[in-house]
Amino acid sequence: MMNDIDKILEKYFDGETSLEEEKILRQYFRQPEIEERHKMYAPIFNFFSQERKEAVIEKKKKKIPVYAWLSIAASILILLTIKSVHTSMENDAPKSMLYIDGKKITNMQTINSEALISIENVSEVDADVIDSQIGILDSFTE
Amino acid sequence: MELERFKSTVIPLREKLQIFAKGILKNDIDAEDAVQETFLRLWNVRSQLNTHPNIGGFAMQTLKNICIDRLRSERYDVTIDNVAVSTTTVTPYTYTEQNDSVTVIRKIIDTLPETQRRIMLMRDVEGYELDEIAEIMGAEAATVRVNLSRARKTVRDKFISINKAI
Repeated sequence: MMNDIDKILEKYFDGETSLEEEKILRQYFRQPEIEERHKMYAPIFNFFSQERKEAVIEKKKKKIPVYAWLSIAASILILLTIKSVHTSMENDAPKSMLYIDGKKITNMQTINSEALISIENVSEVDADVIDSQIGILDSFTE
Repeated sequence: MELERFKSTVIPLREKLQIFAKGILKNDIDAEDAVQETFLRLWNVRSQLNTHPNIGGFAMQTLKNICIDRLRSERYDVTIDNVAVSTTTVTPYTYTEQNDSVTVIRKIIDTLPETQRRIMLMRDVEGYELDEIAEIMGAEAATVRVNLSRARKTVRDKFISINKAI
């Protein structure tokens, strides 16, 4: 173990350690059983351990910028709008109603059959009207 | 993600920056160093770059400042070196006053050349791979390693000599 630390330390100062090996060094210097000959390095590695911890906290605390808040607010607004349009459409869609002699009818089947009857009535009336109008025209040309 | 964006917006400026730096510093190696330092500085403010209207102009201004700093320190080379030694050496008195190795180490790191200091912090604090740092600087991994090694050895040697002085 101690041999390993010596080797890793040498590599460290040559800039040749991997991130993993550097982690081993930091862990070694954090625990209480440090070899006498390594003790002088402890403050340096503990300094970096501390700085890393603070860097992580700093990252987490990173303020969310104003435009991010704005876009969050905008997204919520859009979602609410879609939702309200959607629900109002849902409510309207099946709701047809019909008044017969002042009575409100909401039953779709009744409404459909009543509607068909009235359309037929209209077309019958139309046929009569058109026939009579054609008759008038014919009388002019004769 | 961040690195990809940096690579597509900042790294392509390299050639232009290199020509500009050479025009001021009259030397390829110094120009190269200044450009690398520019990239490190830009990386440090990368979150602001995303919304910057003129990244090219900003990069150029940063590089210009670095070049001017270099020319100044060259002119006063000898005196600056002497001053640097006297102000950065922490005396036993100030050390016991602070009695705080954290403060001492931070001071030592602050006196490192900018490129070395930034590389050291990116590696030992932020945990970047050397290849990533090399990409950000637009340099070889070997260059990064040399700078990192120098920074670590300087911190070690200065810290140990201060400890011995007490």
